[in-house]
Amino acid sequence: MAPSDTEKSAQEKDAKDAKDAKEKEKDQKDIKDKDIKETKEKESKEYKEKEEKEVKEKDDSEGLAGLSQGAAPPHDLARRGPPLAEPAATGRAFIRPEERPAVGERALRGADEDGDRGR
Amino acid sequence: MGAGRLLVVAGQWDAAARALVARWAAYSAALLTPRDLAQPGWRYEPGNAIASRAVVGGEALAAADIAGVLTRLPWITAPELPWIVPEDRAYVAAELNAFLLAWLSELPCPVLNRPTPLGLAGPAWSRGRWVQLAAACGLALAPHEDGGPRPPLPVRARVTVVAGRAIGAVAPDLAAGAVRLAGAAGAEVLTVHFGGPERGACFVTADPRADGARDEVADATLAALLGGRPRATRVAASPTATYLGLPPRSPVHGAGFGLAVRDRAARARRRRRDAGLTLVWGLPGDGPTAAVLAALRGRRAPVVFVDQRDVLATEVRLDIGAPGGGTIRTRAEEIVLGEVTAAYLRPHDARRLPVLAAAGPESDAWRRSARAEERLSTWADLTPAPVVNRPAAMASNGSKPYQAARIRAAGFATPATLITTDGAGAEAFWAEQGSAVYKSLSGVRSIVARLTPEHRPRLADLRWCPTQFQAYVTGTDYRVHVVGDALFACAIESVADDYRYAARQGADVAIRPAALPPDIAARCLMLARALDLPVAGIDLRRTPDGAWFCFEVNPSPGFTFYADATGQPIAAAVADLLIAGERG
Repeated sequence: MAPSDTEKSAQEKDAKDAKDAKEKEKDQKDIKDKDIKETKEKESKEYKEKEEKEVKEKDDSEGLAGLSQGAAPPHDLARRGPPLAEPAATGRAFIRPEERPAVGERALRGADEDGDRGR
Repeated sequence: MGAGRLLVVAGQWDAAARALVARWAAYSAALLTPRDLAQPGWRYEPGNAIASRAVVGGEALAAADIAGVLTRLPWITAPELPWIVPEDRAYVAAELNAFLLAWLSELPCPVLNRPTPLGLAGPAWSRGRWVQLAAACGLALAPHEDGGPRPPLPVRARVTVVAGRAIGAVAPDLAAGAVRLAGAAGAEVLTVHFGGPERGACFVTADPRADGARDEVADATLAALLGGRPRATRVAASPTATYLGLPPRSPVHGAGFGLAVRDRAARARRRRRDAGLTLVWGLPGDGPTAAVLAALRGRRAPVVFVDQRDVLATEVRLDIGAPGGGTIRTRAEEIVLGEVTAAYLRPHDARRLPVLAAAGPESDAWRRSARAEERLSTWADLTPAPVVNRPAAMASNGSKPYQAARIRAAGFATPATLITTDGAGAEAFWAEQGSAVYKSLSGVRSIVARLTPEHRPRLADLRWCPTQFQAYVTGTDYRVHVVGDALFACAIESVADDYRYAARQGADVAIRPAALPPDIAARCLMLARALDLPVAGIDLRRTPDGAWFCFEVNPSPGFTFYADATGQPIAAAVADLLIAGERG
């Protein structure tokens, strides 16, 4: 049975609504994608700027970073007596932690990334 | 000397140290513990230790009144400083070690043992390293002994060597072996542990401390302290120079053994033996390591890279009695260490690798990592192949004032320096110098900064940790990279107190290649050689009136920071040096 004009009109309206909904959904997705892309780009830019700023500092270690200074004491030398009772820890170094930057952070930070692993 | 006081440097709970202090009461013996270093009143001007002032048991003590020092403390560790806030403990421990290394080295009275960069009480080596030395000294070792994870034999006999005399109920051959071992280690006091007292008993380990429980040892130690000749500052070229009693090795032209082996055919081995092989140990993301690797590969030099990220999958075994021998087994291959002909070492603090940081202290992962790295360090100190740089030689950088004595011995001026726990003393020094900077004593990096009135409130914190102040020297910074016989100098212009962190002060940095006056260049080469560092980064400053000061010698220079700015081919020079060593 052929649809009546009313039914036809309703079907056309439904189709139009569906199309509109799809377009709206697409627009929203586009906006969302754009937002994500922009956010990512912004974050990436900020990260890059931060990296560049850090690179201006001399991050390379220059001393004994990975080498013990005989720090593995032989057998009982490490045992000096009973565990220390914890008194109130109030002493601070004159040179504050923020004045003692860690070095080699970039190399260590990349430690979990794939990279040149040998020959 | 008899009128002075004796000091016993020890941990707070060292019962043997307390017993010695009581036994030596007639000599006004006193115990110096890490707690004493957290008292106001310490004052030490490097180069003038005789005028220094200690604080022991709450009393000020002039260095001139110290007749002798017995050190029973190999190192100060963070857990021994519970009065310091947790976030500062590791740093303060490093600073205290750096302070004591310099001060005890320079005291003019007898010091047993005189400290080395490898231990405040003398050589505080791992058991594996002692096993190597014991083998070289002809002591018997347990079957299959490799200094490895196998539990050592139980100790059933011990002998303490004091000033060349062995004390202990052991067979004569063991006593003679112990004396040889102490001599080879450069230790005036050494306790050697054996599996039994009988002839031919196996060596177990050694300890650079006297066996404090024995009266005879205590009396011999006292005699050595009172009768020992005072020493001037010992400025040894390198702790490795006396190690094993071997003749000094050329850091550059070491004997090449051949090449590394990858469990491949002997033909491949022969081919590579002709070309030599360089071992590089470090992180691939580290600038200098990557640059040296690239330069070596660019020259088609055979190279094997031991990636520090894989430390938990790296097994190191050392051959006993054959310094430089052993194997490294990595994920990919097995390297025969005796066939490595040159090495470039630039490992980072493995404990900061994500995998180890996550595992935490005292974990099995930490222990495995420490074992592998300790053995690699041992190998690097003992191999006849040239190494850039040997760990024992690099250790001098762990204490700036200790290293400064070597710098002055090479003819360089160093800035006027005061190390103190005393706020008033720091204020007086500051006023005397007009302008002063402060910086860490140890190898822990601190940003160099000038004292300003804003610092006054925190001068009270000096009491917790000796802190280094130096006269501010105006002028232009120079960084000099020594690579074998080659020099790469650059001048650094910046208004920042510490150009490495100029951005934090909103300042710019300009780095340009520079030429050095011939005498300064010669002094740089001499200094690097004296420190046994074939590659070094020397920090200099030239004053407006043409005087040159030396601040520090970096034993593992981050040269890419300067090479990137100047175009100087430093990595290429390092690669050429390693290749030349291979073929030397």
